[in-house]
Amino acid sequence: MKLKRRYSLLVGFFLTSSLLLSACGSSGPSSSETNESGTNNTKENSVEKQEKVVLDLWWSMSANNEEHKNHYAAIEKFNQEHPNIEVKPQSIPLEQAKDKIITSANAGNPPDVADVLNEWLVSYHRMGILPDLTEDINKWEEKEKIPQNIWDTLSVDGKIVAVPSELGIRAFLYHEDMLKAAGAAEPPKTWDELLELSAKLKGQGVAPFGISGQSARAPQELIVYFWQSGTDIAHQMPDGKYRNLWAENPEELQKAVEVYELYKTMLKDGVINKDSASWGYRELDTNFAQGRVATTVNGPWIKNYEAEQPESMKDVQIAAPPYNTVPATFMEVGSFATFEGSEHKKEAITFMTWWLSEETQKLVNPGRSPNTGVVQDGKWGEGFYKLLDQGRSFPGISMGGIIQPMIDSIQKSLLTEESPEEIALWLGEQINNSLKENGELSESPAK
Amino acid sequence: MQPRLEEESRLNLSYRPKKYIKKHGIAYLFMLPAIFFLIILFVLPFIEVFKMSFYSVNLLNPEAEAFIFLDNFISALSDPTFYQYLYQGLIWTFGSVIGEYIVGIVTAILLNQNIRGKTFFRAIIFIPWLVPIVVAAMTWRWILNPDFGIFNVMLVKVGILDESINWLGTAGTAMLAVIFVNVWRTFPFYTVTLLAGLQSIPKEIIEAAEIDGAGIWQRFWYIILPSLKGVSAVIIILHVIWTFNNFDFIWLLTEGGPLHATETLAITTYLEAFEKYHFGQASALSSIMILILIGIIITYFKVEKKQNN
Repeated sequence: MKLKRRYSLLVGFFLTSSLLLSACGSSGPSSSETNESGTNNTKENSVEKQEKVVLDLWWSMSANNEEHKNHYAAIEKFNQEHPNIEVKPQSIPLEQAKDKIITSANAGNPPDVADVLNEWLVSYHRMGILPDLTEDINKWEEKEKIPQNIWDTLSVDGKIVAVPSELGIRAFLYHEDMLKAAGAAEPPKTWDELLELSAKLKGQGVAPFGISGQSARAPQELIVYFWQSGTDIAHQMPDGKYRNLWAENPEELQKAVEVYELYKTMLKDGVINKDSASWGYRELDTNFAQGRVATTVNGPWIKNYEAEQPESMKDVQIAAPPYNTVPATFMEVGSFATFEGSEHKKEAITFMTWWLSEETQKLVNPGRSPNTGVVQDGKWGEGFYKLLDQGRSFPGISMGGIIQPMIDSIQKSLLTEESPEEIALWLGEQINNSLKENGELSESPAK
Repeated sequence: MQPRLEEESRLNLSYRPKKYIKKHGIAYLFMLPAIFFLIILFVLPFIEVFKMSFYSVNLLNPEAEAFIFLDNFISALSDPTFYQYLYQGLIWTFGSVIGEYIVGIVTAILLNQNIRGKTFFRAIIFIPWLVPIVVAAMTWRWILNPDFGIFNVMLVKVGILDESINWLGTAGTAMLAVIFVNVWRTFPFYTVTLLAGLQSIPKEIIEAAEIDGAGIWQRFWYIILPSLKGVSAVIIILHVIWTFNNFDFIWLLTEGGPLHATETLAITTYLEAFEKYHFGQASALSSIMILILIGIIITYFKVEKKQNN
């Protein structure tokens, strides 16, 4: 009898729990259909509530970060201006976002909008998780205010798959006082001039030039050296697919070899810190901001160090990155994407284009905007923006299996005795292997 | 259990199911939610991973998906780097577990003494374990930094080193450094667990041994250590599993570098899955890791059984 009562209690407990859980899990509109007095709401209210769309936004902005206050203020502004859309931001560091997006999108439950890097876009497109936004963007009245090379960066197979949210063009940053003390009238324009300048800077007890040997920054720097030398990690062939040509084209190989020779020379001659192979972006940025590195190639975010290091940052100036034969720099385009599987793509596009509009960009990105209407005067704005024409991004291939070999190749050149030619050929092979595995390798003969 | 009791128990189960259900039914009912979540969160994903390891699954090339039976396993085992990363994983695992055990038992014995402020020391020793992994890893990256990290500065000032060493950035020292940091973070767990074990050893036994002339070392070796065998086995096995499968700590400290010097199979699996998107190959690697762990644990129990016999 006692046992029966216990079972009854348990069954009752589970039933109550299930009901409570289902009540908690039910959507807003259905739970709001009844008002406090238990009667039905007016039809208008019900329709209004049902039409309100909640957009899940995953981004790297932290509500606790002073620099991101404007971004959160902009979200509030958007929510006020769009009574039928509510953007709910969730802060996720970029390092984690890539994996989380893949997992959620493949499980059919992606965010409505997320912060993405342009090097992820091709992979996401191949996975089939990015919708084609071309038609919607073409209709957007401010499209022409965004330079075409930015749209190109965010396009895969001719389709626009993301909307730019901020711009990180790389420039040559230098401590002007250190250059003056070394007797240099102006920043170097070529690699040779950089090496000459470094020889003069060495006496000042600082690393003349700063590079990254690991983390996401390292391959971004490496690919720029390839472009500046006149080659690329993969060329688009007549069949539309890609191939690395270093093993089959001695001229192309020589250009790649020159890049690794530069790394080796910089280490041997003390141009870079001896521990550069283990420097990520944090080490590089901090050392430059503190004045322990005289020059580097870096993005406009370095401006944020002015508050922390006002003394050592006050002489920082900006110029075009030194090159070998072709002027080029890396153009990092931070962007927003929406995903297949999101039920609110239309509203997501409304939000993304609103964010990119001149009015919003003046609030959130006055110095780093992809919108040409918002270029800020002075070195941190115009100084970077005038390099836009040189700006390039990764080729239209899946970079997943290539990023790590690129980092390995830098570390091989800095930590091993392998020759530049061996390293270049090794990297070329890794790139082609990755292209083959992903069905992107061209079989067209090289010209 | 005596044979007669076993027989009775068997009879109870076989011939009186109603009575058994009446007696234990409620326990099974309470276990149901746990079993449900166990199946959803562990058993089903494990089956899925095992199944996927027989397929070619590349998220970037979905058209190439096919059943390839053992090809993923053959491809993994025929890659020379697999053995390098397995070896490094074993060094990382056993280096960490041995270091953690030694530091843990020494600190546990010290905290078991009647010293003033032992409650305070017992509380603060737990701090490294409480620090979030990301914070611990980032802090240690700065402490070990060759340019301005305090560790190098101290060693150079004391005269142990002539010039600072890039502990995490040199192939020869990176593994040692990550093991050291892992030991620092994990030893408090051993300390607290072993301390609980030490407190359960009757003082009379130790006092009797002392009267019989046993020195510190003899008391430790012949009384204390055997008394901690049970608790030691549990924490060692658990930590072998956790450390062998650990991904985040090495990743945050070195990303498996420099030049793969600290890469373990857990990191290789992550890179295969989330950098290259080869989920079939990553699943095969995960399955191999599970088999290796099962092998290690079976060997441990066999050795232990042999010693007991």
